[in-house]
Amino acid sequence: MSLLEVQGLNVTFRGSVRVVRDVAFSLEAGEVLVILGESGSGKSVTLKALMRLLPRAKTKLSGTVEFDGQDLLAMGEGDLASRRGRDIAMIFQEPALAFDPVFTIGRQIAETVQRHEGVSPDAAMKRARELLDLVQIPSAERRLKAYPHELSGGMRQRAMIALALSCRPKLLLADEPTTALDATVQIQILLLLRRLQRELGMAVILVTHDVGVAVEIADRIAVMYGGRFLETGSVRDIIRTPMHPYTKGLFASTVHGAVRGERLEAIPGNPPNPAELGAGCGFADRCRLVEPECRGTDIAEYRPGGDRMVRCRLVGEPA
Amino acid sequence: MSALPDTRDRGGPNQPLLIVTSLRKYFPIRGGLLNRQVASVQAVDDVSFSVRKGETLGIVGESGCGKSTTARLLMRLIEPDVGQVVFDGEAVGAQDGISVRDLRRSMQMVFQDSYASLNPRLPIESSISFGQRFQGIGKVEAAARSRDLLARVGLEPNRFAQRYPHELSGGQRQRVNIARALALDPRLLILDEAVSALDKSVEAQVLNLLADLKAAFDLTYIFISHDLNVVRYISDRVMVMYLGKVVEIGPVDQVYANPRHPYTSALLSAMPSMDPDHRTEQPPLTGDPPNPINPPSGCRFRTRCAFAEDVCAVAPALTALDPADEHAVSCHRETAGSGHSGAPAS
Repeated sequence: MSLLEVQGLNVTFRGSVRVVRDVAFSLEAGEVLVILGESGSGKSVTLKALMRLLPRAKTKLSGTVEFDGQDLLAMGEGDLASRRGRDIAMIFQEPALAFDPVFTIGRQIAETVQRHEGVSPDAAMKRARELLDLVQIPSAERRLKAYPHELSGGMRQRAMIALALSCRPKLLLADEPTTALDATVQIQILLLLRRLQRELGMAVILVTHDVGVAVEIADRIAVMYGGRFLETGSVRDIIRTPMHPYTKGLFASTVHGAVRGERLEAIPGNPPNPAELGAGCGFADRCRLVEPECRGTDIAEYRPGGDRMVRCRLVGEPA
Repeated sequence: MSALPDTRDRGGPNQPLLIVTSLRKYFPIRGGLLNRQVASVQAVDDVSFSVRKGETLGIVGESGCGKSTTARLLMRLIEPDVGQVVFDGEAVGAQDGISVRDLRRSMQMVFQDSYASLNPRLPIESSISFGQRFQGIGKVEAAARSRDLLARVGLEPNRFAQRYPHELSGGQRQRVNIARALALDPRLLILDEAVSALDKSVEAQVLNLLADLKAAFDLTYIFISHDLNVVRYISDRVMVMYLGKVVEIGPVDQVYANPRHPYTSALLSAMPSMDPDHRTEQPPLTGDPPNPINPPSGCRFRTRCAFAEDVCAVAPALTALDPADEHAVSCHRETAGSGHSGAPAS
């Protein structure tokens, strides 16, 4: 059985705006899935929906999210609260906002350990110290007593990873964890996440807009656009033989390796507004290969083999 | 453009469009009982470079390296402490030079945050006309030029001219900002992280647009970015900054293929590999960039540099590597006779 089994996940805001549409995937223990998408594609909302972190009054969730065989979406608030932070932890783009500014780093990590493992304050603080060592924060003893604003951006992100790992989660959700960091720090944090993921055998779902980040860390990639997974597959398959016109266009338009003076192959138009998206392929308005049949009815999944999935009419048809 | 005097090419094609000499800006930090100055942020320290007519100079560096402060100093949005800027042979702000007001007509800037750059209460046509009206161009003429510019940046004037910034997407808003920057027929455009906030698919469109406009309006660009791929794509020469200093400058292909400063090498190897079978195994640097308040003495990179020696306690000067003066680096290891054990024989 998979660690996480998501079926028919739909998220609707304010009654009518469908921001996540029929997302389905499964994740094995110790596997790294990267959800790659541009702003407004629904990638962060998908991640938050898994933990039910979206405001309840304005959001309608449907589908199933089975974690270890239990449906997180059907679970009571109390049960879910005890799983958040213990079995499933989350890290965010901006650690300065994720920490409480008025408590020390050590106290905030120790609090989480106490809450979930019921150990004494001293033992919890000792564990916090070990965690700071684990994420390679130098002079950990001193940093336990530091407030969040006293740490640099990279150190704060390490501290947030320490906090997330404090109860040895089986699944880590990471929402653009390196986007706010400088290039030389970003690669440090990515390598740290990769090492910890391997050593702790933890499954990770990481959301990013950056193809480079995805290639550094992913086992599998899901390309998201207009609230849907348009293409999923192993990192090698997606990078080397993208099949969906959007994925192809995305890679062609990134300047990596482009020759100066030559024009970039840009995708025309703008990413869609989820409120205006109807049925049919969400990419149809920007697709060079669009046909009338692409609109109106939802596009079926096409599975060319392995765990590859493409949601495009034109890929599935015989040549 | 009849209302404006001709500001085009005065110094001739060989006169660099911009010569910057010993530019310095320290921001004071006040504190304590009497609100005295207790420290300073050494944001830009002794920065010199020039920009040739028609080229694109890329400026790269991490946060706090002074790249945006440099841009603001060039535009005189902030006053430099020390230093001289010469625009097409005329010293900026000097008696016999070019006034700041005239400079701002010839030099325009596009910022990263496309929404914050526009007045939310003005339709975009009015935003584009505003600078022209300020410089004394009539209402009708300014409006006509604004609509023409909207068309040039790919926004159909009849559909877009009366829209407000919140009705546009990020890419469209950045096109408006570019149109506004072009409204006064400038010669130099400073693009400060102008495509960084855009989605990749839109970024490519705007980069293509910038290339078209550069050719059409005979522009020179200073392109500031943290994205090394984009800088490589768009720039002719690149300047690498670290903690307020220029560490390396040179032709973009040469710097990327053969970086000479250890920081430039580290920055380049921190780029994601883009190959799942050859992932990055070792981070090129540890730790974060130091705080620009009280930066390290001597070479500012020595606290993170693998090749640091005693001699690095003395600040190295930016030294040309070849007689043509194209590629210059500020590192004792590359300077003959510096005393560094790795220095080339003189």
